[in-house]
Amino acid sequence: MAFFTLRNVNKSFGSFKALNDVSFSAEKGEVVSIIGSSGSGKTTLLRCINFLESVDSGEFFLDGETMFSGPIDKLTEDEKRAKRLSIGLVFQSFNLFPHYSILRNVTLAPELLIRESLKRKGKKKDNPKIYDGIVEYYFQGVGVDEKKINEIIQKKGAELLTKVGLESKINVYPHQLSGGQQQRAAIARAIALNPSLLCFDEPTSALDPELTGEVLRVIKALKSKDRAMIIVTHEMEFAKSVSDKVVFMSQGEIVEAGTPQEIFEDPKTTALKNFLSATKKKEGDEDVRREERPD
Amino acid sequence: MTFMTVTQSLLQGFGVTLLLFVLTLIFSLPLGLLISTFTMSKCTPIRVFFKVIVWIVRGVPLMLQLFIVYYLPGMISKAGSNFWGTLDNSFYFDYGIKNGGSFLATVVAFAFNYACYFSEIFRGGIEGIPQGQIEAGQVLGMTNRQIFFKITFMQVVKRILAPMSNEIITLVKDTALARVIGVVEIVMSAYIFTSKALIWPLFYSGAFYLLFVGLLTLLFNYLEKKFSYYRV
Ligand SMILES: Nc1ncnc2c1ncn2[C@@H]1O[C@H](COP(=O)(O)OP(=O)(O)O)[C@@H](O)[C@H]1O
Ligand SMILES: [Mg+2]
Repeated sequence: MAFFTLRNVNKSFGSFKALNDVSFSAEKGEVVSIIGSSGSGKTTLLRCINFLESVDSGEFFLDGETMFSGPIDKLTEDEKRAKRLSIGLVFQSFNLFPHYSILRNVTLAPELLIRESLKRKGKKKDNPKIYDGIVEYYFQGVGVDEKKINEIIQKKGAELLTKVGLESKINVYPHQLSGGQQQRAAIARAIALNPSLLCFDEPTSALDPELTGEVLRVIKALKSKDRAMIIVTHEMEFAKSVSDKVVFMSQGEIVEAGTPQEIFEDPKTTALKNFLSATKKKEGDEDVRREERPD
Repeated sequence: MTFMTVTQSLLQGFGVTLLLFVLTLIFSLPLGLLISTFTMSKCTPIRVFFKVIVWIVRGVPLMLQLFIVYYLPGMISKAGSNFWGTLDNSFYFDYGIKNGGSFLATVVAFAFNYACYFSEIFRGGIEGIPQGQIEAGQVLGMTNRQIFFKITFMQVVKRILAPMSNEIITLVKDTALARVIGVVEIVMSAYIFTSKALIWPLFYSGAFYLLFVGLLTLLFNYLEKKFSYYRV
């Protein structure tokens, strides 16, 4: 079975079918882009993968483990949490915590988790395997020293922020950053638990056009043999260059999937052809507008 | 009657006012938080029940509620018995509170009344936290408890500072109502002098309120500044 497998996922809101028999898979190290017009179910799909919505039916496997099989309501909060830890999500609207510095935004979750993990060690409710993975990611063989937890977590947080080009901003609060910088901070936060699946929901849609480049560059640099990435995006050039696989969704269904080559150079369905020519036209319009702008 | 004796008497009354103010806050703040969680409950009967309670408490004059709290327990226990009166002598403060039972009844009525007002402020503050931040916490594997205390609650404090300061300043002045059931707070201790044809102590008592409200205003301004390091 592939590293990431989604099988026959269905999801309705009332009588409205938002996802219809969605299946696709990806190998470790691969990047899958999801494209499709607004309302086609892309966000809903990511929300199901991240346990923010419960599917009506369908299965999700990651790294040989069953993440869900059918609705997730019967999972306990603890189970849901443990499963979530191997998945990261970057939101369209960043959703940074405004009352914490950028560094604290990144370190909060790992710190809580590592402290919890130490507390649970050897107790009746011993740690799920994933906890050890995260402790290992932070302490890398060095024994966990209670007194050094803060220091090590902060060092790692600063490292992650350096990775996204925010080393000079670690003590700044979200409102003091540009949209592009906020999104890069949110990306650093999402990788702080070293997820093996990283999802992005239109990470640049809320940004001014001149700020999308810096964010897309950071995302591209995150491509790694240790994880799979799913990127919902309207940036076709980006999807073309970063993806190993592109999935086209329309009205809750996967209409076409294939290599970037197949999807962008040789679309089979009329739906995809129309979508591509519509986005091309829109991008053209935007270029014109950008050129007309007086600055 | 000298200025000094009046001042001394008013200070004693103001002590009762302050004690009533502090006790009301101590009980109503946590109780308000609890009620706010009930009015946001997913369980419809609980939610509706507490919303109705809040509606009643906010819709009926506080003075009436004082009377209800003061007289109702006696009426339903034994006809004619004075429930709070029996507590009058069971404890005694050095703050010049003679009617201990009335004072207790006032604390109960005020705490519950203000808890209901605060609960609405808390609810507004909690519901105002963008759902996206809660989801960000969930995706990061945080427990509901951690999300509440590390994300929601931390920001609620800043969001509710302005409405809370209004409500708390109103409470300072509402304490004057306590005299209708016999609590000798500052206005009552000033009023007593009218029997000796002295009116000015009543006006003088206003200065105590002004001073205290001024101090509270400074405190809230300071807190607001303290929380200005981030924007919601
Ligand atoms: N919580 C919800 N309740 C009802 N309908 C929803 C909800 N979330 C999404 N939808 C509907 O599902 C469809 C897909 O939405 P979404 O997944 O956000 O699409 P996309 O991200 O591709 O734009 C839309 O028609 C939307 O109105
Ligand atoms: Mg969307």
